[in-house]
Amino acid sequence: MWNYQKNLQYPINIKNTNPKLAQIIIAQYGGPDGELGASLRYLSQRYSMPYPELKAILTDIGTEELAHLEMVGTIVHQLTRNLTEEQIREGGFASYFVNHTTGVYPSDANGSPFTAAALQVKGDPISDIHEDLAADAAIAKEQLTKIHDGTSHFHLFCVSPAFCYS
Amino acid sequence: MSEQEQLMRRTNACRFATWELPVFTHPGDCKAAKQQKKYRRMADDLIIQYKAAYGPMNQNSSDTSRWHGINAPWPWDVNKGGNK
Repeated sequence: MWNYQKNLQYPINIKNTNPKLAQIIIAQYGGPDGELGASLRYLSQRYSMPYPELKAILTDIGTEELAHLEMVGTIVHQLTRNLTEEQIREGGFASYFVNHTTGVYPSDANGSPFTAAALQVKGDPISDIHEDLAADAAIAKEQLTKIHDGTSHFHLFCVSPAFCYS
Repeated sequence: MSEQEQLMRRTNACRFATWELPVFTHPGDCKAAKQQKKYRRMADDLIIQYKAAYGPMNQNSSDTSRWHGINAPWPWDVNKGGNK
């Protein structure tokens, strides 16, 4: 069962809104390789793992991904709060806004809603670990390109611990 | 940043280290285990300091009053930004 700690794993305080960037970052929230997918993937895979160390690490990482989910949600929220109508239009944010205003909806950068089709739980440890590698290697690559976007100065938590355990 | 915020930041930094160490390292790694113990002790000391100076930290749902759990600032509401 889960306990909630009312603080971000890493402090986030974005002063300036940027709806254009938010539309990219949201892929890390509800996209196929985002934190929601990651936490569901690990938390679901752990049941069929044959060794307690594997159950433990998947539980810990799955839990941490939920903390990351909160941070990415915070980023999207802080990038889109209190927008003026002009900013919404100029930021190309109108199509997201019409459906969600400044709410944080789990979707990818194109607006496709989050789906479990992006993750796999085969019940076989080798297959599942390969699935984890596939998902997390994609994250590391995407995040590197996001950081070099140059429009913001915040650091994203790069390599997921899942990279290391496998 | 006020002294209270600074103390809270330092405490959370130690807790962060305590959490990340076992996640990133092998369970049989003795050096990592020692480091985790060290950070856990640092975090415990800082928490005692904080509680003595400012009262309970009110972060964990298991030891927070209901009122505080609802009304204390939410983690994403730091310094309301935006251009309004």
